Amino acid sequence: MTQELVRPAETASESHRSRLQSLLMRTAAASVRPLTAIIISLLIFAVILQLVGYDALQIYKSLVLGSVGSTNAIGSTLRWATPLILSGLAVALPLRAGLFNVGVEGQLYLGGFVSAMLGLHLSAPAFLAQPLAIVLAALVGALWAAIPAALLIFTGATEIVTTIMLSAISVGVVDYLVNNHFRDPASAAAVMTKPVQAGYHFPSILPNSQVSYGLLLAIVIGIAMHRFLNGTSGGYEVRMIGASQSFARYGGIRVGRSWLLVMVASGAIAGLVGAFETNGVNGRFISGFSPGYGLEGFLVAFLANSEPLAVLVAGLAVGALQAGSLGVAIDFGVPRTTISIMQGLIILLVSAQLGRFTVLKRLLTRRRARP
Amino acid sequence: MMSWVAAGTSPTPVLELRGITKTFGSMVANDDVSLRINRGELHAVVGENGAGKSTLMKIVAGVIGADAGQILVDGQVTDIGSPHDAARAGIGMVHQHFSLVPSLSVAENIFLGALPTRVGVVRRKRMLRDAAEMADTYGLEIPTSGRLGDYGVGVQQRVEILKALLSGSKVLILDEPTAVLTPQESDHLFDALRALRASGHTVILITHKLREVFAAATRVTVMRDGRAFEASEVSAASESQLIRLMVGREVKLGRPHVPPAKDGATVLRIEHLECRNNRKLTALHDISLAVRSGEIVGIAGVEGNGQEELCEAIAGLRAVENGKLSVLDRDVTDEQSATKRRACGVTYIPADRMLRGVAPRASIRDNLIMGKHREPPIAQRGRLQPAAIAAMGDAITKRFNVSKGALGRPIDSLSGGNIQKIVTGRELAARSPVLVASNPTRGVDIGAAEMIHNALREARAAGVAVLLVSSELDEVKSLSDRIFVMSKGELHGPWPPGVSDEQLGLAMTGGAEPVLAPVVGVPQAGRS
Amino acid sequence: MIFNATLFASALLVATPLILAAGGGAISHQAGVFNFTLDGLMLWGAFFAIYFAKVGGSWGVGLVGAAAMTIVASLAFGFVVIRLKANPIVAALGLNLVAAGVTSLLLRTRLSSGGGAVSAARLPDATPRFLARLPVVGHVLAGQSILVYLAIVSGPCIYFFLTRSAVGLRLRAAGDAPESAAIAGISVARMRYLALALTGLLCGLAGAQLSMGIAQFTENITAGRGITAFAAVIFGRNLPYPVFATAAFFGFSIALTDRLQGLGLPGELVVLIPYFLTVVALAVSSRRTIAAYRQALA
Repeated sequence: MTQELVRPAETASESHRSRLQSLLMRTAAASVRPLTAIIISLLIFAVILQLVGYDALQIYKSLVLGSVGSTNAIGSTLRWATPLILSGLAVALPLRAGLFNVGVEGQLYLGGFVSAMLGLHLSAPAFLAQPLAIVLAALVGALWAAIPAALLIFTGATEIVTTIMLSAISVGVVDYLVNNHFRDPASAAAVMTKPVQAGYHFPSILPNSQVSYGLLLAIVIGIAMHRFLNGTSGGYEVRMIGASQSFARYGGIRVGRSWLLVMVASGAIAGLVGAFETNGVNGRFISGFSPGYGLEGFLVAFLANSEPLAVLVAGLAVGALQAGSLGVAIDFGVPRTTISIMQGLIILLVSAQLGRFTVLKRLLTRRRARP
Repeated sequence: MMSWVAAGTSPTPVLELRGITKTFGSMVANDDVSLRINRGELHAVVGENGAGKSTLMKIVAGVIGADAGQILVDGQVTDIGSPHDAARAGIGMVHQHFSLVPSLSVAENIFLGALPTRVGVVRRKRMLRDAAEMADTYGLEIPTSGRLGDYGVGVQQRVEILKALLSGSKVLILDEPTAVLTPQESDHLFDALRALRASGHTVILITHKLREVFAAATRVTVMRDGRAFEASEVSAASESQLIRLMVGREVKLGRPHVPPAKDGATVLRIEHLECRNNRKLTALHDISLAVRSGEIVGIAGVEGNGQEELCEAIAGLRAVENGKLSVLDRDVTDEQSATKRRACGVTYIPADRMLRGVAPRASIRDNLIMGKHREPPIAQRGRLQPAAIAAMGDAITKRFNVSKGALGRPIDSLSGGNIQKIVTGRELAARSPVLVASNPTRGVDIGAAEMIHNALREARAAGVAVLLVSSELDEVKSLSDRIFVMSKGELHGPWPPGVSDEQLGLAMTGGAEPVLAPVVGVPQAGRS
Repeated sequence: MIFNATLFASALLVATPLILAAGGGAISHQAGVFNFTLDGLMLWGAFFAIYFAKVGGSWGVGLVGAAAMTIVASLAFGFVVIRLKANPIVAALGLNLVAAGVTSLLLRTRLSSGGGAVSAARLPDATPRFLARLPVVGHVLAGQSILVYLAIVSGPCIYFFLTRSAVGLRLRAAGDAPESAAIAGISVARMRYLALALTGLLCGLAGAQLSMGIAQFTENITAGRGITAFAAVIFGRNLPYPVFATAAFFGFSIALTDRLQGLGLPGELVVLIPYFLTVVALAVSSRRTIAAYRQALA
């Protein structure tokens, strides 16, 4: 009955080593793509800069200085990394289940608005106020993401479009409310609310910077997401739905339920971005405070291949980019928006290599002999 | 093996294949196939799913390219590298899964490859007129307006045929045309084919329904496991001979049969089950069956007769229209989901393992725990237990001799046999009272197949009620305690494992049809 | 008096870029390429219209330049999605980002405008005098540019193209059933590139209408019009006439809210109605249109 084993069993250490080896190989394989994308887009961006008359080398030098060249620079990098990591996590989680939450922008906008409203109208001591604002922002974001999720599950309406539409709606509604009902009369130029009460203002954890404990929360969420996806049954189900829906259904997984879960969590995290940017960094709700975190979330998630731990690193990298671009803007008068060129290029190239990457991946895995 | 009647001096065949070989990865789809098709005949190519018929015909039609071999049209070696080449050579294929555009009209579909235009604008009236003319000539009714997608498969198929004829095909290849037709539509089709032959066309018919072979074909070629046997005149062939060629295996996996150790209680009871297939046609008619603990019930039969639907209905992947299903005397008919059926004790080894049985790009480890990922020992309070998973992986890879390596590899880096071993091991590890196994050794090498069979026998010895569905007759006979045959959605039998192949073959062809007796005087091939 | 000729005149004006861009989006979807680049392409076209008008000295050069540059941008998107097999959603996000960044950069550097706006040639009145003299209709049409007329005829033109021309039929086949089209000898890739070129053309002209219509380019000149146009494509289920009508309707409602501003109806909220309607439309009628895209994206 028992078959004779063709090879003697491997010792424990041998199997550990081969596991480590394959892990390293896979990490290396996974890094090739985002690294090449970044390098190529750096080159293209440099060309564009030269074409319009800037010295690309000088600009890149300023970029580096502005992101890691001083404690202030590092503070700036961390400040930008916080919303980017959170947005990246918000996008990455549903992506693992095959869903595109393109509405992060709207969800975070609502989160910011709600936490500002709390901060303006509800008096509470700091130790209550801040958790309240955080929780409420997360709730609102979660709710706003639950709508497209429910539509997808019950009517089949694609979340790709519904999240976009709802995002536009929420931004429009919030802007309207702020502009017409909650505007700070003292500010004529900018559309923004009055500052929130002191208790709601998230303190910074790094001197001379705007880094609040939101960064720590982001890191905690990233680690928790990693543990969830890789170490729990629920996370397993999410991953399998993303890998093969037919396999997941065959195995008895309730796909709709998982979809709802990941979208709600995604919206909640997006809401957090709004809370920390509004009450933490800006101290008030400013219309248009988001430089496109929703899109940049996709950038970060794709760079990280939707792996939560990698999102932490990618968010940091893109945060450095953002911080550096500020320095560039000051030094050279290059408008901040131009950094979106590089971000856009990276997104394009990373998504493109998704196609070529499979060729590369197959090459790397084919080298193992077929057992 | 087969006899054939020597015709007089045979004229040049309109189509000849010499040594066609095609491999997909490690799977040999066509193995040195040679074939001669004569002008004006209706040549049937029969064989099981996976025998290589469709691949062969796709090569002839230029849809895919052969690795080796030659195609001769009217005696001339012809290079067929694209459907265009095939069309120019006069070969047209009517695909099994149509190659039509649902949002375009009937006429637009027919003329898609050659739209009549004037300055870029399509000449609609001319198109409609030509289409109507062709339809008339060949007796193929088609509607004159509306989107093609709004019409049923009968219309779609006629459009496909007209498309092929339009491009000037002299040789028409039809791939399982009646799979989607009602009996009346099938009759119309064969009338049309007859008219086509009368006007000088040649028809190649791919089918696994022997009734059609005997009703319409003049010559027949059997394919199995990528190889083709000598063609024979239909008038000289017998159904049982054809069946044996189609489903028999050269290597016998058989073992002497061991009777079930105990007379177990009925675990799975199916009563008057009715079910529909994906085309909303009835796939199962009044199926009743009982499987006892510690026995293997085998269902043999040519694929496409409802076996897949039966397995899916039991596993909770297909809705039950009528009837009752019970597991361990508990009515589970209303538990219409895979989740619930698994909870009730049904596990399933699916026939399409790459689609349902595994997630190809996921790791072996991930594929291993599907179905068990919420309960101990694999998970404790929602947390996956790596040690338990590793232990499960060890147990399965050891038992089935899958080379160790890292369990983190994507499962599609393994061979088909190893993948199936993992699937089998996984489903068996559930130790559920009911196991449904559908074609468990299809596309699997001999060694792996034997291991899987042993595993099924062990499950049986441990008291599992096993329902085995397979189109491999030898497999069914060597494993089952009782054998049924499924034909056209109906169950025939049961028979004991010692039943003759002829009897089973008879049941597979519907039983009620008379078997054509071989022509007297022509030497008969002996029973293999 | 709300519903007078002036309202319809401004409705036409507002609707024109929506109709043109939505038409482009519909063509792209019919060819099987999910296209969320409409806003980015409009922005691109708006900028280069002003740029070339300024550099070339006339609105004609502006139009041609806008069209050419936007076609190139759209084809580049096509290359990334078709040849490099990128996910169309993500690639669109990337393109929109790049468009915003490049136009902003070029605005500052090439057109050296500190304030963010730049003026150039204006689209001239294209209404012939005999039409302008008609009683009511004349009022509506007076002063409208050639692009407005193009938008009006774009509906029937696109319909004709997709249903009566050989190229259009092949394009639809490539989108509806690419394998079938390939078997029929159609180059699916080529059809998709063609579709995207048309999208680029139409979006470029839409953008030109936005900027040269007021002889100005500012950074956020599209103001989400591209998303509204996309909404029209989805709501209209990718079909020429429904998309045309939807875009026209959206344009009309935007113009209406501008009018109603004084009467207390919040214009900023009413512009959101198109998005809401799209969600409802999807919820009610989902199944086919985008389910097919998900398949393609998987």
